[in-house]
Amino acid sequence: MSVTSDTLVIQLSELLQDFTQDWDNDFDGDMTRETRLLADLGFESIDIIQLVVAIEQMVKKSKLPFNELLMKDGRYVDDLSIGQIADFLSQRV
Amino acid sequence: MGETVVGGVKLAWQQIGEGPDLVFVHGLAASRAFWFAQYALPLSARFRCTMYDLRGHGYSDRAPSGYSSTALAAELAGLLDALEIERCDLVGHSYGGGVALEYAAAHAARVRSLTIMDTKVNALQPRQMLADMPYLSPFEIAVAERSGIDWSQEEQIGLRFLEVVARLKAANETLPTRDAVTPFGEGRGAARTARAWIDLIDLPGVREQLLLPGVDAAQLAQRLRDTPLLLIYGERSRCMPSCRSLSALLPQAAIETVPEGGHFFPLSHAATVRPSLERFLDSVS
Repeated sequence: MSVTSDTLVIQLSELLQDFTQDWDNDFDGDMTRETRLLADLGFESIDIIQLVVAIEQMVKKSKLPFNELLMKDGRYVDDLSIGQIADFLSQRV
Repeated sequence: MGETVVGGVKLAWQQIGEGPDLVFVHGLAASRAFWFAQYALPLSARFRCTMYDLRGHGYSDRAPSGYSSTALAAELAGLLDALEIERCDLVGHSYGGGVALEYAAAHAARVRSLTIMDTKVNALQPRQMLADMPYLSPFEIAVAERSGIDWSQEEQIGLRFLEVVARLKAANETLPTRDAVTPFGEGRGAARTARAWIDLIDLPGVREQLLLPGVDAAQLAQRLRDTPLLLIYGERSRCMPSCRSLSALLPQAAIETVPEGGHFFPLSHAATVRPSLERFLDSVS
């Protein structure tokens, strides 16, 4: 596991704290590599689309191939962990 | 992706792809994500796809009023002006189809083609009864049993059903069964959208606005007579009376019926609906 990915986990956790702060999602505790967007944080498909933009701003890079991360067989994936996003970003940023 | 203030309301929108402009309008209690995965992404290879959240939905602001299809069509016009989209192919599902229809009736020259997916057009179908399509899905049966409502007497069954499901979801009640696509069906997170929907329809006057008729039948026939039109309706849809009325008014309409399609067939049957849309767009380009 690259250092970059671990660093991104920390950055993503901070971003997601901010992103979900008004959601009343029953999630308490620290976000980790294993924290899942839908099951743990209460994401919906619209939130994922919106998060993509926030991530692009965070890493200061646009037009990342997020489709490879978000889509499988033409549908949204069932869930995503912070670690999966960090690994994806660490290979492309 | 961006945010644009139209009529004092912040609207969230996004564009992907390059090519002729293709604009999508989602239905009630949905968001631009409705179109993203199965329509905009695949079509972005050939079109510049624009999606936005209606006011009171997704990441757009909630305003106290302005939810009639006519008002939302004016909002769409304002957004397309701001995005400098002079002419487009326009696609709407459910209430979003009503918005698209009103926009096209007001700005026919700006609409290269119009695709309506399972829209109940208030001017043509003022009431929507169970008898319009007696078939009930397993999910609808489960919701009906919980609700205690006499659905056979309900005059706006689609809107009422959406409200009942939202209230169950917001109360964290689990429903025993699901269809391929159900409103607020995205697991635990959808309780947030369900609460947002309840907050919206509980605003004074909003329910009434959602039922207001737009332009009447004669105006639709006159203003849209030269607009290429595709009507896609679900075989099991309670919006079918609108489809029949539209096709009678606008004989140029191409009509597709989705076998076993319920109201959410654009998602549940995307594998067949998207190619139908593409063929139609090819035929008018």
